[in-house]
Amino acid sequence: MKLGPNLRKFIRSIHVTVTVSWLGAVAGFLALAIVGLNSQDRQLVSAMYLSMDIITRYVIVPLSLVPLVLTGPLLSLGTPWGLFRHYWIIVKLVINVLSTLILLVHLKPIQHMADIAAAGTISSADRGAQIQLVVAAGAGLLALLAATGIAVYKPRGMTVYGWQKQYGERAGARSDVET
Amino acid sequence: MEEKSNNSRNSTPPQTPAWVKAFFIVIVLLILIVIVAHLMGLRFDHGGVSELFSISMSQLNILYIL
Repeated sequence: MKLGPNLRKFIRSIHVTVTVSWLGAVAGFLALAIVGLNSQDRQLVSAMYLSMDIITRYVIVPLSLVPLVLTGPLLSLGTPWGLFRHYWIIVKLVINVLSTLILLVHLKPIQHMADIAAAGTISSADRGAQIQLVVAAGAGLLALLAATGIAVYKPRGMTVYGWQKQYGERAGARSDVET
Repeated sequence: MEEKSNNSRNSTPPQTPAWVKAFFIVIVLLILIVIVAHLMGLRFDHGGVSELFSISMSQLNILYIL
């Protein structure tokens, strides 16, 4: 399946928009998590964790799933880049899968923090969870920054599978020209 | 001659670049750090890996999103 140039540009636009929005949403989440960890104002802290829960469920989770299950596979499989031909695409896929898994793992802790924030019962016993959310958001932000850099620079490196496909296509094209 | 040298270059499978090896070493190290941290007791009791597989579609709010 090969995408036409207009459709390819359209899907690429969605892919870039969604992935960069995901990065921005995680940056926002990190800011809220840091304020929630450091602020002495109970109301402000409660508001932070309630906001983090909403941002996670309605913004970050959808933004993480779209490039993973829709635009990423479409762009790689619908263009000559392929999904397993170049190392930078595999590395981006690994970063995306790991980031989404870590996000899903943290859904329950985020929901728990929002629940106790709504009840106004956040205590020093929750300090570990607060720190964990800051660390996880920071790590996620770094991973997404790395993925963005890889997508822009496209470091060299072709897999054996990609090399075989390219070599086979060239050999096929050469034999077509000769005949 | 040039074509011959191109063919001989193309017939050698590419090697894994150093940056890819470094990336996977970093990933493995990070996973090891997380495992060690959990074994040392630095874990959160309200969720985490143990409850990852209990996440339902409704919890992800996918139905609402779609």
